[in-house]
Amino acid sequence: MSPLLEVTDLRVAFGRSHREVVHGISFALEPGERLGLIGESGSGKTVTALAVMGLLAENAYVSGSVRVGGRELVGLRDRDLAPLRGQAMSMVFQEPMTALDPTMPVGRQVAEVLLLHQHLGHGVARGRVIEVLAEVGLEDPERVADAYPHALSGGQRQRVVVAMALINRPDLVICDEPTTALDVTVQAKVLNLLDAELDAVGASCLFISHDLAVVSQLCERVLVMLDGDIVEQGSLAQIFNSATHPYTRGLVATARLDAVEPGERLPTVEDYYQRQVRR
Amino acid sequence: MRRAGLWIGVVLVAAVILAALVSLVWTPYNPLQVQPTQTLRPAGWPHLLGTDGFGIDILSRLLVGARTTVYVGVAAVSLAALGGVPLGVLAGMRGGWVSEIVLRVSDILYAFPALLLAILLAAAVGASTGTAMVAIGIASIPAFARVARAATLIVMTQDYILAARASGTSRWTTSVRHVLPNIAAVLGVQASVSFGIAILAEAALSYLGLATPPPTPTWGRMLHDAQTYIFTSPVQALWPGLAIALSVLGLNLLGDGLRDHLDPRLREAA
Ligand SMILES: Nc1ncnc2c1ncn2[C@@H]1O[C@H](COP(=O)(O)OP(=O)(O)O)[C@@H](O)[C@H]1O
Ligand SMILES: [Mg+2]
Repeated sequence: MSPLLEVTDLRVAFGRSHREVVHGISFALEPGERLGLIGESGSGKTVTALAVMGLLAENAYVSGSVRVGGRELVGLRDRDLAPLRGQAMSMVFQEPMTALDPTMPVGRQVAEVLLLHQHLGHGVARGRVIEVLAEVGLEDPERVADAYPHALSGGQRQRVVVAMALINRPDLVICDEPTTALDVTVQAKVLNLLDAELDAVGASCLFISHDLAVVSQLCERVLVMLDGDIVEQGSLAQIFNSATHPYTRGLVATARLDAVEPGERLPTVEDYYQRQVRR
Repeated sequence: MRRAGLWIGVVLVAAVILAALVSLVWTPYNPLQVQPTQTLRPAGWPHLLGTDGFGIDILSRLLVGARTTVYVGVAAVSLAALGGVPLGVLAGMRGGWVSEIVLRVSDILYAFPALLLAILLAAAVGASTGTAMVAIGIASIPAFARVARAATLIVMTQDYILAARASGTSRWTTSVRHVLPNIAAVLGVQASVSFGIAILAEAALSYLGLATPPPTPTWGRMLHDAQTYIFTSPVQALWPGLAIALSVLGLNLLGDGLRDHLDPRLREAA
């Protein structure tokens, strides 16, 4: 089986000074697989996700290769990429507060994703939107569809965002810290929802998080990213039991807080990995 | 206190628009009718604000003058918005050299004051209400371009823009469906400020004879005519001066009041 997503020697640099923030990373994602991408803030996770979607700012320089379903995306023009976005691949963003347009009822925003890729009458589209909003566990979907984002809670908004990402049944869904901004109970619900919906749609997922505990609920395999490099990759079992990189061992220790004896100091990543001071 | 400012602004601007509308169907006297026996009457009855040096009823002339003011303001602001907003949004969305070019072009336009444009236009095609509209409109394009660009830059950092693009929305559709509605409030503030500037500019141009030619009443022209009597009947200059000052004040209060109601993130763009 050929991989659904194949990233080879991807490099991303920004601005006139060409400051490189992703240093030639490679990984692959099989159809139906869920791959975690984990790393601290600023390690280049979002940049990697946006590079796959072809959505980096104009001041970004991208080299290397990104193939989705065998098709090379690096270097494609925006108008050739746009039909793939929301259809073959889609994205769930971190901030449910800002991921929905405040000037538009959320139902119209979900319908927009549908209508961009399929020729449907507005009545049919609305029916489908209501259906999907119900599917992602929103009560009273008719009312939610007509509501503006500010009238919804964080959890409700994130469900709408998930509905937007999944309505066209894409092959690949990139989730960029989809639960980081939510409180813990809502976080668990949204994770369960994602789990179920990804299965229902049969989509592969690149799941980004800084939290190994969250990743381990959803993914079978994990990439560990540090300062723009992938320093370790493997199955969850490998990562938890036989990590080689000190940074990964630090992540594992902080994800296993239940193993800490009462009264003992909680471990931090820094106990395991000290970043060299750059000159 | 700030709320009061907004409401005073609304009332003053509404009064100007109402005056312009009323003048379309009714004025106390014919604003063009010269009455040599009735010159320089003081305020009272039957001429509420008195008469001018030609014996024309001042209130009637003010009401009709409001019409020219509103016409020129609306046309100039529309022209400026139509020219400036697409440029600013484009610059804000694309960045890089597109943004550089837009900023340079708006710098060049900015260096051309409305007055100079009006003189050039009046020399080329003759002074008229239309030349004032075009001159003031073009001179106001840079302000709209800059504000639209600044607001677009802020809106572009929001995830909903990225989310729209990640759903397959093209740049063009994103700008119309998601950027414009989110910067509309900021553009409203700018429209209000630009309208105030346009009123001042229109008054200056008609005072100088570079806009609406006589006998059509304009506030600037009334100021010009009042000059003759500045020592004998200074109240002649008071009425058009007050009309100009109050409407500019109204638009500025309105603009400030609207700015206070903006999303705090967007406030710095306005
Ligand atoms: N548009 C941009 N211009 C310049 N630098 C950027 C841009 N976007 C991200 N970066 C830089 O790239 C690095 C990685 O950022 P990011 O991928 O957002 O990290 P994270 O892993 O937290 O998602 C950071 O140092 C960030 O400052
Ligand atoms: Mg990030």
